[in-house]
This record gives sequence, structure tokens and C-alpha cells, in this order.
Amino acid sequence: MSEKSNKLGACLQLFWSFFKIGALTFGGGAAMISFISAETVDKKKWITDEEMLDIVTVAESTPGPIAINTATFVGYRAAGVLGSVVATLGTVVPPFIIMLFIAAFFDFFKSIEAINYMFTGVRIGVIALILKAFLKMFSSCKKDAFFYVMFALAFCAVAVFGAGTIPVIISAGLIGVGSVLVSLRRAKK
Amino acid sequence: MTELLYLLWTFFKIGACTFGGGYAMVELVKEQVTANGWMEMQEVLDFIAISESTPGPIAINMATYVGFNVAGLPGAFMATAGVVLPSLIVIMIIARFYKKFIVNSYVAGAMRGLRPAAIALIAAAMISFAAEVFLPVGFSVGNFLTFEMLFSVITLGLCLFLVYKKAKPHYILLLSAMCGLLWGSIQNIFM
Repeated sequence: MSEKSNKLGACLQLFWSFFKIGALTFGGGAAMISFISAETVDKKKWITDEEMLDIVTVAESTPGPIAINTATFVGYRAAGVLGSVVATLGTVVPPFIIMLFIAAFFDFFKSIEAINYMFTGVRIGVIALILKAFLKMFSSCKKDAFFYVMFALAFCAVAVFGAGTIPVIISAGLIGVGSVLVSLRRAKK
Repeated sequence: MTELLYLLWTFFKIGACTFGGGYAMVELVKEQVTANGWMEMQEVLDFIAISESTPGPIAINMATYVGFNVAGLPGAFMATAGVVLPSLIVIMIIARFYKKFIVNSYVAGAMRGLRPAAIALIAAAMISFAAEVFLPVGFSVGNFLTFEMLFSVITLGLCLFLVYKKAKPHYILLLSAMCGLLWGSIQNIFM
């Protein structure tokens, strides 16, 4: 078999694996990573366990949703640039199709009175879900003085002073890089 | 055409400024879609519930839904492409030397600043949503002495109990939906 047809076969397999991942994982992010790891490390052996750990680390510290970053990276490791495009497409297509249906029929659903009542309750449930996500991220973080200062600054900027989210995120990243520069300079002296 | 490009650009920004995924992007998405008049605050909340109960990353669900509502199928396509592109571009660049990327002290430094900010944004989103649901017409004592508020507080209390018990998100959504249905039926029958 020529190398070219090999690569095509690998891409088809990648697409199918990530299509399943996109179609079957609920809740995104963390739930997806365990599924991706089971499929691509244990079953298909495209990447090793150690590589998977590195990939998750990279996915967490690069922009974009973790699930997409992980899919892109695994695809790249398995079959290069084409692999990363194919893996990303596979992850995106199932939710894309499902959401198209929901978007098309949402107004109809909303015209049903019982569903409207449910949503008045669900909005409160979602606030609890956001709290749950907040607590999970907050407790899994290493917390030093710098963390609390940054947390307070970002929170006040957005919630109290109504600053834009994007400038706050960019400044937070720059301040973080700045803190490294300061500690490097101190180490030199 | 400009509308499609604007969708692409807006969701590109959302993809490029999300660190951590999922709920970390809620505040950013809320800000962008409400500022453009694409969604109301309450719709964003409804939508998080829908994302949570359908497969796929929240980011993709959100982009597809908003894009479709703004400009049909081409809109859904452009918004989804926008949210995915930053990941694709950045990972393709980094994939060759990711070992160096992981141990780079500037990357670690940037994350040291970004992580607390991302968590603070979740807290800010939660507070603005809570204000929207509990105080839709502003703060006054009269607003607190209604049956509706009693219902809301009981529902929140039950949901918080489930959060405390580390229940799965689906149970929290199901419970709150049942509370809403019950309250609606009570209103229909007695009021």
C-alpha cells in the first residue's frame, strides 16, 4: 500500500473516532478528554499516555475550548496538518447538526407553555451549574497571594467597573508574563 | 456578506480569548451576544441548559445556534468556523515544539495570570445572571415578598443542595425544570 493511501485511511479513521467523540460526549471539556484518551490512546494507539498528558497541558494553556484543542493536537500527531483538520471536523460536525435542528425548532418549543415553565426553573438551575463549575476550578487551583490579587482585580474590573472581557483577559496574560520578567531580573541580582 | 464576516470575527475573538473552555467562556459569550443584540440574558441561560443536555463542546453549540439565528445556515457555518480557527492555527504552530512550549517559563507566567482571571470571569457571569433572574426589575423590598421569589429561592436552595452533594449537571437541570413546571401549574390553577 502506498504511503498516500495509508494516510487517507488514517484520516478516515481519525474522522470517525472524533465523530463518535463529538456525538457521544455530554458536558464538554473534562468529560471529553477521558473519552478522547480511551479512544486514541487505549484503542487506536495513535499516541502514548505520556503524549496525551502533554497534549492536555498544551490544550489548557492555549486559546480555544479544551476539547477542540485536544482533538486538533491528537489529529496532528496521528496524521499531520490534514489529520488535525479532519479530527477537528469530526468533533464539530455532530453538535453542529444537532444544534441546527434545535435552532430551527426552538421558537416552536418555546411556544409550548409547559416548556416555558420548565425554563423559568432551569435558568435557576444553570446559575447553580455555573457555581459548580466555579467551585471546581477554584478548588483545583494553586492559590498564592498573586492568585488572589489577580482574581480580585479581574472580578472587580468586570463585575464592578464593567470592563470588557477581552481587555481583562489580555491584561491578565500580560501581567502574568510581567511577573516572570520581574522574578527573572531579581534572580539575576 | 459583511454580516457573515462579522460573525466569523466575533466568534474568532471568542475562540482566541477562551482559556480553559466550557464555563470559562460563558462571560465572554454573554458579553458578545448581548452587546450585538443577538440574544437576551435569559436566552443565554436557556442556551447553557441546552448545551449541557446535547453532545459536543459548549463553544460549538453556542456558535452554531447564534450563527443560525443571525444568518441561517451560512451564519452557523461561519460562527462555528470562527470559534474553531484559533485552536487550529495555534495548535498547528505549537505541535512541532510543544515539549519546549510546556516548560517555557513565559507560558507558565501567562497562565499564572490567566487562570485567576478566567475563574473571576465565571464568578462575574454567575452574579450577573443571578441578578437577571432574581432582580429583573431592580432591587426593592417589595420584589422580595412575592410568591415568585419564594419559588425561586426554594428552587435555588434545592439546586445548591445538589451542587453540595456533587450531583451530575443533568440532575440539577432536571430538578430545576420540574420546579419550574410545578410553579407554572400552580400559577395556572390558583392565580
